[in-house]
Order: sequence, then structure tokens, then C-alpha cells
Amino acid sequence: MEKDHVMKGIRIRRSDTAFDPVSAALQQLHKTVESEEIPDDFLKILGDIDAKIAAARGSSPE
Amino acid sequence: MSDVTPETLAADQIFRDELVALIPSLRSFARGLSGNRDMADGMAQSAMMRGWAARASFTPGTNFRAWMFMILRNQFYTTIRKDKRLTSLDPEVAERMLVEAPAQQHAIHVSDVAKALQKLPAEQREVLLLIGANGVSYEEAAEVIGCAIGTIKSRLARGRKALELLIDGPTGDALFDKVA
Repeated sequence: MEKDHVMKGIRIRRSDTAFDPVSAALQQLHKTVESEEIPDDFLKILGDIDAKIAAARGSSPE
Repeated sequence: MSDVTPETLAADQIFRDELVALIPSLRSFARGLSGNRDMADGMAQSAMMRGWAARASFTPGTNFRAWMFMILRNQFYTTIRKDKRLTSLDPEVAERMLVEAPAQQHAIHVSDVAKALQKLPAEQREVLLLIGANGVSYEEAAEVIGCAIGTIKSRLARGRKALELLIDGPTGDALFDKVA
């Protein structure tokens, strides 16, 4: 009974803007990935892009 | 290219810088969509390369994030059409993390949400990830997915309900584990 009561309370809270556990969990999933170090494969792509920009700059008339 | 001008060089540099800033969000969106770290990073990298190759079609000053998310999303649907096994859960995402409600005695396991997400239809999952995880607006999500804002709201509501049902179970026992 106590659990039912608590669950009811949480369900009411879920519809409020005070605290939404599902949204909080989704945001946590995002933060977890966001806080990871960028893998080298990504840096290699950026290096290729930088090289292309540098090459274009070298061939620019300016 | 023969049409290199100082303007295109400047635009390329801005494009590159915006791409760098967006990498964490691209990885996060891809991870949530695929549920698999390696697959997600591969998709995010493909999206970056496709975006760079198609940069001439991007209008500076418009929504870069929505444009890149759209490319990534297309990449995801192309990938799952080729590989139907794309529902496996990344063990790293499934770490048992707790998000505890302030002043409440119960908590929700983030890993349960991650697992449940992968069971949702992709059209609901992507909306939950865009709005719930990445914090994009309804308008931006509609732009990414290419549908009406009403459709976004409807998918979000149905996705949330399905997610809660998947985590709670029919009696609501699973969602909130008592924290001692």
C-alpha cells in the first residue's frame, strides 16, 4: 500500500515539470557520450579536412 | 577546385569548426539510435564526411545542427535497411547508473532506459533522443525528420508512454527500485 502511494506520488510528479526521471535519464545518456574523449578516427577525418582547406588556401588567388 | 575564393575558404573554415563542435552530439544521437558504440561512431563519421562533401548545399546562417542530424539520420536508416540486427545494446551505455529524484526514495536506472529505447520503433526513438537527450526544439526535430511539428509531439508522447511501460512493466514495479 505504501508503495502504491509512493508510485502515485511519482506519477503525479512525472506530469509536473519539477522532476522527470525519464528526461533525466535521457539527458544522462547524452552527457555520458558527450563526456567521452573523441576517438582518433574522428580526429583523422578532421585532419583530412584541415589538409583540404590548407591545400585550397594554397591554390587560392588571394 | 578552380572556384576557390577567400569567401569559400572562410565558409569552409566555419563549416569545419561547427562540425568539430557538433561531434559529441553526433556521437550521442548515433549511439542512441543504434544502441551500439562502434556502429554509432561509424555512422557519425560517415555523416561528417557526407556533410563535408555536401557543404556547398548548406546555406550558412541556417541550422547547421539540424542539417547534420538529418544527414546522420539518413545514414542510420540506410544502415538498418542493410543490417536488421541493429538492436544490440552497447554494454557501456548499459552501465548501472542511477538518476535519483531529489527528495525521493526511488531512482530510475539509466541502463533500463537505454535498453527500453532500443525496443521502441525508430520513429519514436529518434524523437525522444532529439528532444529528450539532445535538447532540440520541436521545430528543429521536425526539420531533421521532415515532418510536421504535430507529428513530432505525437511521436514524443507515444514514445514516452511506451518507454515508461517498457521500463515499468504492467504494474510499474521495474522503473523505480528502492534506494536503501
